[in-house]
Amino acid sequence: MSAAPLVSIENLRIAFERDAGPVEAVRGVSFEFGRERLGIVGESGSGKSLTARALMGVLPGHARLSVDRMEFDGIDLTRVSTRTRRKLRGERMGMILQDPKFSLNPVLRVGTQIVESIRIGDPRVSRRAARLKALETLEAVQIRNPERVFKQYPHEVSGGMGQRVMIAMMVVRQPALLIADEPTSALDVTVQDQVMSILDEAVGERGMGLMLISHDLRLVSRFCDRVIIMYAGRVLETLPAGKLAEAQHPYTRGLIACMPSVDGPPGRLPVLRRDPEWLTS
Amino acid sequence: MIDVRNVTVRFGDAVAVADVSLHVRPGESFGLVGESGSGKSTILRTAVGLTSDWSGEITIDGYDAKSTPTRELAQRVQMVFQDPYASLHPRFTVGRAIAEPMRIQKMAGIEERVDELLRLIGLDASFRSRYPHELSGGQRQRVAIARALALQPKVLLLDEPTSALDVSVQAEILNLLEDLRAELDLTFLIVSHNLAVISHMCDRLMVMQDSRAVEVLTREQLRAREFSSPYTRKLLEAA
Repeated sequence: MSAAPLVSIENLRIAFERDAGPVEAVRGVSFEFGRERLGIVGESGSGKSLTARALMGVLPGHARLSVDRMEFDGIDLTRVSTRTRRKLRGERMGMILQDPKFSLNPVLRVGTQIVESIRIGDPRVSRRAARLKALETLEAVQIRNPERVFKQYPHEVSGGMGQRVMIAMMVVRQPALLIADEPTSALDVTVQDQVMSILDEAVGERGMGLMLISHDLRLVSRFCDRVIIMYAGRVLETLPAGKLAEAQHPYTRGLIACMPSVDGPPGRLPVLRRDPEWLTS
Repeated sequence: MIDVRNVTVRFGDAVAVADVSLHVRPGESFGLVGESGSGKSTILRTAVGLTSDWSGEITIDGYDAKSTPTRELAQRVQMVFQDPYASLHPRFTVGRAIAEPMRIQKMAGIEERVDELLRLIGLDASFRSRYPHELSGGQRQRVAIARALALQPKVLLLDEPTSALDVSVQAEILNLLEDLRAELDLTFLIVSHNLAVISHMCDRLMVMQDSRAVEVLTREQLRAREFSSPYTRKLLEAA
């Protein structure tokens, strides 16, 4: 990790207007991270995806954001223009979403989309050079027949393949930061690890920072260096990924305990008791 | 209680289920595990008449799935789907959703039965007048379970009943299902891609791959790693 963190967020708040008044979905989140693999774990409604979207600058229009500090690689994101923001997204930040079916353009061939993504990032690259680079990257995400996949439409590739295409499309521009929001939740279990390893390798080789957002504690602990646990819009605790078993917060411990396991004891599963104090303390 | 004999299901030229047989005993909880496209959900859908082009034989509590009129079969077997956001009518209140199957069957005492069902699934009577969008995912799945129980079936077919839920909610729903099975003497056929859920819930399980049965195991065999198929091992390693 370099001296200056890649990302630094202080007191991030995101609220939505409701009839009964504003509802805060993210309530004072602060963290920093560098060129490492950071996991953000939480259940639905914890604010994990909104936090990532705020960093990307792609919050829904009606969301109200306030933050004391939000920096990416030394750039103050609260002050840059929409145009710069877009440029940052095109060149230096990437995001992979849950389901490749919805994030790939259904009417464009896979290759066309990767080429487009390369040339948006750097318009000086010729079509021909971009094509070569796209094929190279498809190969790098372990697609055995890149020429064929290049010509295919998204509906012609499987979910695991689609997600590799997404990874290829994102890492091909060598962004400094890659955000992956539930990248394997729509995939079969036996494909999940494969896709995560490819993502891990792509990120590691290029020295990127990876922010992995997931509800899956086990997955995150396998692939990340550090894990942030979020609940109801707040960070409850931060742990080294290898030390989940030593989690202090009763929420984290409850989350681990309530998961069934193949060799777990029969009978009732322990149920998480939500303490109202977790919302404030 | 559930007998599936040499069932083959086709979607056009594609074979979704190829010559699968299984037998579930009364009161048993039986799991079907495999990846997407393995045919596990198609078996459930076929058992309740949601697919048309199939051969073989399915009987549920002695009733032949092919020839028994839907209205009669519905009193023996009901299904709970994966996504409670999609399986509940968005403009029906909870009370109406639960009452619907009873109304179709022209049953008496529907109102009392709705209250009883709500109690059974752990929601209080105030939920009757609420709409699905006012409920959490776990509450919706509870309502879907109540609706499935309305006609007092002996068999529940559960298709990924907790895959769309947070893990903490999953634990609550799995506990609820176990309680209901014991209390109401139900027989379960559960489909899941999650081997941990199946191992927790099921006495026996069938591993499926590419529309075929790979092997049938007891929970003990699974836990002792006494299986013969490398595919089962692969699923286990991924779990």
